[in-house]
Amino acid sequence: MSEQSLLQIRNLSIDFPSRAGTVHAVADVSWSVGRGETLAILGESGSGKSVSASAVLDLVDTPPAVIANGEILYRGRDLLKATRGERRAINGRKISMIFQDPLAALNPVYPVGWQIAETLRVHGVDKATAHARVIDLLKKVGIDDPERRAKQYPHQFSGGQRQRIMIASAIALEPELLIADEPTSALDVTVQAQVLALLKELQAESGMGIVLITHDLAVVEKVADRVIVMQAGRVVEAGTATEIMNSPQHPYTRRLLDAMPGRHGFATELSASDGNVLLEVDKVSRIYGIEPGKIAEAGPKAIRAVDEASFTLRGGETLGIVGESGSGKSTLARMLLGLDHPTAGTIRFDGKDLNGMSAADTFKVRRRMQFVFQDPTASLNPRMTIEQIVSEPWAIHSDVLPKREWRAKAVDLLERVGLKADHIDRHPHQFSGGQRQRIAIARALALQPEVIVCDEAVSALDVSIQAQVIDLLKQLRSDLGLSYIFIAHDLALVRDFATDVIVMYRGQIVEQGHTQEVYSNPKHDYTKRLLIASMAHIPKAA
Amino acid sequence: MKFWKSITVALATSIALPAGMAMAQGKTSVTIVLPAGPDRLDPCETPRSVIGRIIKQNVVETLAELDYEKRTVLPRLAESWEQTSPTEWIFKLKKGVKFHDGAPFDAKSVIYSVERTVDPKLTCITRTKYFDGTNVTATEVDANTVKFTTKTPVPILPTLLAQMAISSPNTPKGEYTNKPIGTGPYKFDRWTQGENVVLVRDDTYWGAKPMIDKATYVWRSESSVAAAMVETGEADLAFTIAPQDATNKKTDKVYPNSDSAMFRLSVDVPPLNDVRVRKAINLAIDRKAFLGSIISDKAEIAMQQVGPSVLGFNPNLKPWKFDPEQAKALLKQAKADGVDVDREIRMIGRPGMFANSNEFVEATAEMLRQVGLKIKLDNLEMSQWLQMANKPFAADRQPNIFLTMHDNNSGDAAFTAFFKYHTDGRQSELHDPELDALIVQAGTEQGDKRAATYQEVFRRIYEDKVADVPLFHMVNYMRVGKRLDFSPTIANAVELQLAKLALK
Amino acid sequence: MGSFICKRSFQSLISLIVLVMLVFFLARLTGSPADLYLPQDASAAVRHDFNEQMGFNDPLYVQFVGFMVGLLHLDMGQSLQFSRPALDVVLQAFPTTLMLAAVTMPLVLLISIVTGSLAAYKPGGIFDRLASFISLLGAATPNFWVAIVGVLVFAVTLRLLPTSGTGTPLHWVLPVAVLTLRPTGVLVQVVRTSMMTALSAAYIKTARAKGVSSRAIVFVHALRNGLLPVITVASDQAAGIVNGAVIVETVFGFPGIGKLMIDSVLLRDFTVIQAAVLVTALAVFVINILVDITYALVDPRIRYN
Repeated sequence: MSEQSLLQIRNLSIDFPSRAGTVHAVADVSWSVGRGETLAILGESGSGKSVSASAVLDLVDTPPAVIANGEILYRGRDLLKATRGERRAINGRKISMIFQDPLAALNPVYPVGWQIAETLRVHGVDKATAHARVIDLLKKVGIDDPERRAKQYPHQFSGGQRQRIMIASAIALEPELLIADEPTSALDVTVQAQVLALLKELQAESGMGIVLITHDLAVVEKVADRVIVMQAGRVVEAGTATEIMNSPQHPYTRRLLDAMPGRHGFATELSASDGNVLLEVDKVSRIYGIEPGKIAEAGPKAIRAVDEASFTLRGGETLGIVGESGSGKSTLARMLLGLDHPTAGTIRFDGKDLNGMSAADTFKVRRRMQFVFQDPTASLNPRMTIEQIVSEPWAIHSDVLPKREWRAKAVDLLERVGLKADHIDRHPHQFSGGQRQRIAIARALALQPEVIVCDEAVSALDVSIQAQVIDLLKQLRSDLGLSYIFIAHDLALVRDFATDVIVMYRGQIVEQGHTQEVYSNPKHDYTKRLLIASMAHIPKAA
Repeated sequence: MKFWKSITVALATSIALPAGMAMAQGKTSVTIVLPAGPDRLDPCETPRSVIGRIIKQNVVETLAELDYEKRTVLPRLAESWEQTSPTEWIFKLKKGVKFHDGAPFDAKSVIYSVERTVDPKLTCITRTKYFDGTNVTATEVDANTVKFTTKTPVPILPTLLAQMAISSPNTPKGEYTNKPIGTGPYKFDRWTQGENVVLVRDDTYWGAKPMIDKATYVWRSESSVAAAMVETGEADLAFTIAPQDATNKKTDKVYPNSDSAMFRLSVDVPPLNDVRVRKAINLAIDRKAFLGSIISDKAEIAMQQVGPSVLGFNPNLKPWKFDPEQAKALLKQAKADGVDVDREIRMIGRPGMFANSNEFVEATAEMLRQVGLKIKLDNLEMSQWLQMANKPFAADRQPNIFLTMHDNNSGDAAFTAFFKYHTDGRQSELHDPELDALIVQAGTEQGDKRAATYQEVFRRIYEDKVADVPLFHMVNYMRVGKRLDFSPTIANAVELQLAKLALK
Repeated sequence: MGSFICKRSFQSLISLIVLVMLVFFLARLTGSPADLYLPQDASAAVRHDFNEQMGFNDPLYVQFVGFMVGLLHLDMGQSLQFSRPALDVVLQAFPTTLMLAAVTMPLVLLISIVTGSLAAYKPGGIFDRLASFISLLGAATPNFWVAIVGVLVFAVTLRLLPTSGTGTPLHWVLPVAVLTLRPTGVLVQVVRTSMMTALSAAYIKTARAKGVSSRAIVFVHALRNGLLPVITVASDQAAGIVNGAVIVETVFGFPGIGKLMIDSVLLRDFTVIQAAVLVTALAVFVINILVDITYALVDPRIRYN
């Protein structure tokens, strides 16, 4: 800790009252950051990393929280002893903060230019000067045609552009310190890299310090100078980035590094598929904005969400479908689910066209193909008990299991996914995110399907939990002989788990093949870019 | 903080503005608040109290005027009259009278008014209620004398003419006018729809000059607000207020309003077709108990359908005693004879028929149940009530005890007897040929003989037939402000002569 | 936007016509006006003449055709009560009610937005308690009681205000105050809930991180986002007042459309009932279209293209 440090947190403790007693969200935490330095705070959800940083800008609501102890020294002065007015004067001017989800973090009803200018106006800059400065800032962060764009609204920009706008707003008054709370977590991998590069560039120019809060080790590796690792409200390890990445001391840090996907070998030890084609997708397209049946006449305004995608899934295979936003993978997933119909092409399950099936046949197919969704909170009915949730498939397909056996079988499924029998009468809100996803998997297993489609099933989970759930899926694969379609945006994750991979870009499949092949020798330009962006930290050797 | 301060200052300023809220009036102008506003001001509609209380004898006058005390007819615009034959009458008119628009009041103008009134193109109550079927025509004898001719003898023509307002010959025939032009002490000034009607004194009036030079009529259907207006001085007179608002003995005066409440009985339908049952009903109701509780203590117990101001009113009838024991005894007798006294009888009221009428029927039903009768109580809305009131009556109807309110303020029993008691009467459930004959006979007679015959009609209905359950002659309350000196009488049921209001 | 307004107006027109037709038939099912207009002892011949004159003797479909033809010429017939064109009678009464609504609603919005926003900002604080109190008051107290008590207290006892009638601005104080009660009570809660959602949004954190003052956070950032449900409910309340603040009009003697409608129904004045329904429905449709336009103004994500 240099005596030139800009911001120093000393023994900070923040408590939250809860039904189960006091939660020590931040317990005796100390860190500091200096000029021109980038400090990464690494941790998973519940580690207290966001809370401790939010306290710097007076963003923690007290009440109900209580700052039990500690000092926040900005240039030697304790912010916790300052008045509200004094802190407000610092916010945005000396210390700024940007947040995780730029769509939610920008006010949807005001133009972006107005919002950037607000930082200036609030701190005393007059309107005309503010407007000119806004145009400059937009140029600096890489938004084209700034005069016109300043008048537009947040929903008219892409995710990456919105984060740039937030950054523009944050650096408007050239603060000395920028706190970035998971700034890239909601962005596509390729965009992430650009945003991080921008931050680094701005830092080099102005010499401001950056505190970067993240759960992603890849980010730490790219941009951090120093790192502190937080777990359950405490700092468990601190050091330079190199130290932490290469020789972690604390067991938790080591676990985190291990849990990072892609650090183990390829999933090639699996046997090759045993041949029978389960799912066949043949030149499937989904085009919006045309007359039905008039594909050939589709004009330039037509949107090709999925453009002539073809692939097959055989028994025993795990197919990863990777793409960023706008790639068409979600649309494809919807068509597999039967929520949407292809404008052209066919999807055949076990030889039968999903599109032309009778209701009775579709019903039967559904039994053999099940789904696990991204958000475990939303996909479980909060009013139902676990037993009801897991046995719902038997209620729908009433000829699978007689009712008197439901409870026993549900217990069986829960144990298989790693939960306990006495969980069966609880409600979803009593479980963590990872546990809820296990429940969703148990539900998917209820009908003994042949294929499980996982649509971003682990994207909403913490890194270590992700690893656990993937392990479970692997286990089930070998125990039950399941085939998977695993849709994700994280290449690293897919590398671990899938036998075959498809890369989608702008509606088209640009590359497909065995995982090892694709990762070692990518042919398409986009695949190469994607690999570089997401896998920089993975050593090339298998 | 600053924000709140400025609000408080603004509020205080606006309230401190003229706190005395009395309407700007001159010393000799008055404001009168009515319970409802007029829907038109056509002189032909004067007998409707909602119009008459503004214009009758104020803006327009009649040839003759009713004397409610003595039950006779007095001269007004006509000086004198005589019946020259059963179907002919000669009326001598006052001389030197002019209408407000300058037209002279003479025989021609009277003839014009008569023609306008009886014209079937104009639906007006003067014709439909009083002159329908009389086929009356008027002809000029000389400039100040008019001869009236009717098809059949009309012994009470002067009484009828007390309802016919005489308006200027410039009033268009066949359509309503909303600017009444008459001969009265006040000119019609203006009618602001929904807000007020203003009358101003006409200084060329033929009679005595009244004290009040301007009258503004406003209306409020909420009685407590009307009462409050007089209390604060915003109005000088509240025409009628509810009994519960009449709390100030100094200002609140009682007057009979010519309404008589009564239960009509279905004398054709068992068990009400047995006179013992009807007597029992009359004996079972404690009329006195209502006076001073939910009915004004100034109301009078009724023995007949018409009130004391009507020619034909029988002053010799005695009220029913309250004797539930005797009622029970009568019912027991009737039951022993096989009359089905346990059959459910339907009592029908109408919400708002008079103040506290809902409570009244509930109490009465209970009184009847106390003597063992089975009563089902229904309150019907005006339109449905009218359906039950008028013929045709459903042949299979339940026996009814039907609450009615009848106002005869026209001075003669003819307006009641036929349609309420004759076999062909629209609201009559009776079929008594002797009674029918009496009613018809009375209608042809005049003077004391007429009165005597009608009195006999009512006696029969009350004592012999016990055809219904007479209840009360109702009263209204008028609140008279401290600027005015006035005591209302039964005449005020239909008119308010401004000339009779004295400023203190 | 122009074509949107045209389309909505056209849709509203169709609803309007269907509505008036419905009223036409339903009203005539309720009973004969003759009984109510003529004296009870009027003879059958008189009754017949009356019905003949008014056209009530004609078969229903004939009456209906006549009505529709008249409607095209904006002639809704003569009022039975007032013997003037029914549309005139209604159009004379309508502005009073419209004025009542126009004065009341801004007051309602002002009170409820300020109180509700401040209540949401500090749940459990003084404004929150005030908001709950107002809502309870608005929901629990009957209008007519408040009106009469208001007259007794402010006019009779304190002599601060006139009892009733129109005329000076002071005459409007009590009626507007009474009318404000219920809508404010409802709207305060809507504002509060809506603002609580808005205040817990992520962009509020951003604003605080920028150093924006609390007042600006509530009234600039949160309010505009929380307005949409408020606008919906407020328009509903406004339509309710337009439809007839009957009690206020009755107690205070305001010659508005509410009282006119009730009286016309009781007297079976069909033409006035029809005209009043038409005019009021038209006003409600206009309110709805204005609300849609306001949505688009408030939230730039809503565009009708």
